[in-house]
Amino acid sequence: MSRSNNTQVENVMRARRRRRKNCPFCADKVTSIDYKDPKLLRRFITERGKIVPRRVSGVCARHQRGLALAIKRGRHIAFLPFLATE
Amino acid sequence: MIRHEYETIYVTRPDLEEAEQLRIDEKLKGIVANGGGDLLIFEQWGKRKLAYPIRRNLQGSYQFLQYVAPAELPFELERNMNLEDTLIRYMTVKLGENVDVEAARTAALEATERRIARLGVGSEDEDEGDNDPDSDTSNDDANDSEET
Repeated sequence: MSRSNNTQVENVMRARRRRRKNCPFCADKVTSIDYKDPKLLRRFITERGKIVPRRVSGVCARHQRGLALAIKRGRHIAFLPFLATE
Repeated sequence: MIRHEYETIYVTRPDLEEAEQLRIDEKLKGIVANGGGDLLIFEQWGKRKLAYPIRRNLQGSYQFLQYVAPAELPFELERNMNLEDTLIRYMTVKLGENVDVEAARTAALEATERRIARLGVGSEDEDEGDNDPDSDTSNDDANDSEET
């Protein structure tokens, strides 16, 4: 009984939080993600410098792979931080 | 001979004298030319803030090469970059295999134009706030139960 109540609550919360889950790269028909564009890449890392998981950002699997590679390249040439301390 | 398309970014110390910078640039360009490579693009992006200090440098001077060359050339280029003490970071990426020079050149020039239109050449304006798409920090805060 209480369990079903819980799932109901979760359902309600999920409905409230539902947001657009469309891949921004698919929307723009991006073929390859440029690691030389820190302004774009910064939208997909947290303040700490971590790569945002796609369950949060809504990026599709294919583009997330390219995005992760681009972020890692961007880190190597110091366009992006490996670790940011606030 | 089979040749591939590469791009190399290298970062030099920001306090380099112009003559020294020029020497490095010309040396690397020479290596591309002598190693059977065709330089498509050479760009100087100028001084940028580094996202983290590299050998105690907070800024770096960025240079960008794009070229079509045989597969041995990047090794030779990187060997020479390792010899330069003032060159603090480099990265080479292969862009395409067995490419045609002229096709690559036109594509590279077009891509550069698009990039300049979008970003500016070496734009330094990085002061924008980071807007993480729906960062879940707010959720974490909400779930933190307060202890007494």
